[in-house]
Amino acid sequence: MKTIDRQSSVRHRSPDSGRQVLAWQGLELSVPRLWNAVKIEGDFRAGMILLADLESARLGLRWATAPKSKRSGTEIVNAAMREEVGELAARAANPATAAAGGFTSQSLFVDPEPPARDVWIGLSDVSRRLVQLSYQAKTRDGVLAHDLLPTLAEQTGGGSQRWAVLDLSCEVPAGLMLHSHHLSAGDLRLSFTESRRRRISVRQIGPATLALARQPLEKWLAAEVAGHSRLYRSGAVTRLRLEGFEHGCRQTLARRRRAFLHRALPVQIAVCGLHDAARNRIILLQAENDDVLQQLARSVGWATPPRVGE
Amino acid sequence: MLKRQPSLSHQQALSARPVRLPQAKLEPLETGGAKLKAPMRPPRWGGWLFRIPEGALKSFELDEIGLFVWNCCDGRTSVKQIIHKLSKKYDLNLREAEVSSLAFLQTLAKKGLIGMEVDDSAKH
Repeated sequence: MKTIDRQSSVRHRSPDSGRQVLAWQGLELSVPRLWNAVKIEGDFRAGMILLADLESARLGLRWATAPKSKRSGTEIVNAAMREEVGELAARAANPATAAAGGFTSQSLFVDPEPPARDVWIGLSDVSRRLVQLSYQAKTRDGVLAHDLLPTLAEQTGGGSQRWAVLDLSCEVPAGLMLHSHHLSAGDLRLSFTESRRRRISVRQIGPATLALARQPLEKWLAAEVAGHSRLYRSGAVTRLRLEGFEHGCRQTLARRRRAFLHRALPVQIAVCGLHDAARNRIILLQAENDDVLQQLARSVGWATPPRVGE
Repeated sequence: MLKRQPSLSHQQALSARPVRLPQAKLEPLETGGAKLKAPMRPPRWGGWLFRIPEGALKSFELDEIGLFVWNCCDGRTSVKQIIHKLSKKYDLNLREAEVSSLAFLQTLAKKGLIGMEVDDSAKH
């Protein structure tokens, strides 16, 4: 039985504040808990996320890598604002100050006649991406300027990268890019890759009480590794004890000899299944070795603390 | 002439109140779910050809979440309230609760197990 020490300080055990964190492709934003991502497209270079509540769309987040040019950051932002809201409206836009960290050049347009669309555009100092927030304002509520923009930040490169969407949150080592995402009700999965030899997958299933009533954790793990059976041989399933989790199990997959032509694939894959009783979720992780698996396991759930007293 | 199903706006769909089929009977299961039995109705087309014996029942198995949503279909609780209740009870993200409950209610409606009470004033 393997034991892994888990740093409880990584998990934010603060009370539910009615907000949730969205961390995607290096951008982080805190939004009301009632807003959720209903559409996600693109990659690190360019993409968009549409956030909506039950009634209507509320916020659009869009990013695109700014082309190399001799223009200053302010000129690039102003040009983007003109393209977005038109020449006349862009003249009314103000250079937003202290609105968000890591965006030296930024512009904010607040439509004087709500319901309308407030637009903020900023040029990231870190990744040189143009980031745009479009907020559907129903009244003159100042949500974009005072509530959302102060929470927008870009993760600085070098360290691990944080991801959080819907109910799933994790930190992956630097250098890994998002390969695919499958966000179905009750079954969320993020897959990351750097090369064919290095792949990481984080899958969350909930509620765990129902999932475990259907089949035990070991069978969930078996279903997770079944997709690798053609090229990988499954090792023995061992129990895994991790602080903060009810129980867990792990397995190592070794590349089959007949898969010698697939030299680009990792020689082994470490897989584990964990039951997070506090958040009532099952976590299934895949990584190239136990060290990365440990790091992943410690970070899962960083943005969604278990609710206490509800 | 073909009868068109009335289409609902998103607002109306959220404020609609689902109502259980009165003839449907529930048998609780040990797993926490339940077995739902409802009388079979002859198909609209070909009912004269495919005769259903009197008293024939069709059964559906509901898991714990399905049973919870079914119990909420009392004609007083709106779809929006069901989504919020589901999210709170099982600690689900609101989007997950919305998608799963709407899909389940749609299935129940297609099977003829629930009806929807729609308030015209919900357009606001």
